[in-house]
Amino acid sequence: MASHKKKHLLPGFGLSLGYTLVYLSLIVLIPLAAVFIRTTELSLHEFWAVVTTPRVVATYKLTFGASLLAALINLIFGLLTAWVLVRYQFFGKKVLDALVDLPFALPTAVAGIALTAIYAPNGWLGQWLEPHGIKVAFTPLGVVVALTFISLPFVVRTVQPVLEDFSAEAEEAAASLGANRWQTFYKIILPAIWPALLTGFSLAFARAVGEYGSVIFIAGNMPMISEITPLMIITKLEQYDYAGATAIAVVMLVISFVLLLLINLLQWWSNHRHGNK
Amino acid sequence: MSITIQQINKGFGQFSALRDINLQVPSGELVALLGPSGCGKTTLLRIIAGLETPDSGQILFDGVDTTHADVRERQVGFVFQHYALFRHMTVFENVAFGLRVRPKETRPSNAEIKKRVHDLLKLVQLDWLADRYPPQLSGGQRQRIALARALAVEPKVLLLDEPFGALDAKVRKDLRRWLRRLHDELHVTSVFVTHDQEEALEVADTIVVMNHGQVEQVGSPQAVYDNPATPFVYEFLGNVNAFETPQGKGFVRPYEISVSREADAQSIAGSLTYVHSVGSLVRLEIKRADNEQYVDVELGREQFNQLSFKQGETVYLKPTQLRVF
Repeated sequence: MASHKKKHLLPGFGLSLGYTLVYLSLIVLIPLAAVFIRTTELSLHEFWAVVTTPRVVATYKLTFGASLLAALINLIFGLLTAWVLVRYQFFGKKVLDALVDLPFALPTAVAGIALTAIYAPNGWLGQWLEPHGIKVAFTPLGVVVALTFISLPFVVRTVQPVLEDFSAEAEEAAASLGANRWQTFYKIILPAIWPALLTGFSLAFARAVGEYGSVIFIAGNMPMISEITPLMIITKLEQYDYAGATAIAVVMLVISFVLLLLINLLQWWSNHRHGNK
Repeated sequence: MSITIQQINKGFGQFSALRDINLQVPSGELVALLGPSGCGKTTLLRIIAGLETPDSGQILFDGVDTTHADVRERQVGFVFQHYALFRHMTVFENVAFGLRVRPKETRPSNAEIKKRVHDLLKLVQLDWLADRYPPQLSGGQRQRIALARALAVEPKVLLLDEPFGALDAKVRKDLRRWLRRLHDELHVTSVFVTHDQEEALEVADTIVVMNHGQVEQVGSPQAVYDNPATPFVYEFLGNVNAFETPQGKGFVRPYEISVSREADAQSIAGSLTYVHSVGSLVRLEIKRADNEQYVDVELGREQFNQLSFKQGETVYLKPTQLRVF
């Protein structure tokens, strides 16, 4: 008699799946659902009015724009850092490697204050930039700088192990077939690390979107210019406008979700195109 | 193109990988670098390719010093031990790679590339796999694609690192013959590295036996097998029994020993401990009565059937040929 019930090779599937679902529900799903439920206190009309005030719309643009920019900057420089850390031997490499994690470990407020002190018009770097008309602190540029700082480790740490695993043989094969260094990089190495790069990019982006602590110090928080969406939510909360705060939170949640979905789709597409199923 | 290797030395830190290597590979020959792992054969191959630079010595291609030429300029086709196919490219694109990366002035047109690649895929009999990706191929197929990719750039020298190392026995044998035929067809000077003596004996025109970073012997398969120059070559090529003799170390091949039930003045007594009789040859394992050492003997099946030895029987051995170093 053949059993039609599929046997799992590993025991405990039911228990571990159940635990995972309960855990995810408690930590992620229920709080997120609460956000949506709280929003229903507003009528559709009120909701639309809250989330489309010009001041709020300006914060979306800044938050998502600056986060994308920061993630892009880290995509390039994070790759460069990972490359240097994997490919070259030099004095102080271990220290540099440890430094990469610093933005993780540092309380974000500390990072914010430090960045503000350096980039303020009378700060170490600010005093040199100011005469050239470049203002960093208390401008959207400052927001990008802070977000770049806190999302630095993601691309480095996702790409590093993939680069380490990448076989030298493939590079040597490319060279023996006549490819120069640049051709080897963009035709052979880049496609291999592309999924990791994309993952690092989306993690950096997600982290930057949610960042609050470091940004509010350096941004100056001028309405319509340098306010970020998380600050907007806090402002509403401080005014006991819980429904308004959650309404903005819902918009943020939806935009983040859609963007991450798009990145995942891009990843899925590039994986399929390269035939590794 | 002929390859001349002059006084090559190479070390990795304290370890000396190659010591004073001199070698001549005539144009159009298929040469095997044979030796145990760690003997320096792969290092030598990589130096010929330009993937490694020697500490001293010279490499000449057709008499021209290429010691310091970059691997890109050498026009060598290199087939890596684990094939090193580009996973994210189709088989077609893998083979086309060497043509596509050429500078604009010398790059063939797309139509020409297409024709060249398909000709090569036909040559390796895998035309039907053009649109697959390397992870979807078997080991033997990957090996042949790697070879087609190396041939696409029309190399003057073909270098293969353990070309059949990662394949199972049956595929190995087929590919071996196929490589031999391919070489007879193309006549490109080829050097391959192997640790498998049977492979080297079957495929190569010339065998270079290496050990501990030095060349032990160079010669045709028959020459190195029948007249080993050193004890190492004797032991490395084929099965051999080693004896201590008053004059030095003696070597006897398993088929160069006669076995009988009658003792005579020169024979050695032993007991037959094991009979392995599969195939045309019967292998006997005999434990010597005097020093308890094991001796391997090979007999033809007919001869064995006539004598019909039984396991545990006492027999008398006499070498018909003995080489002493």
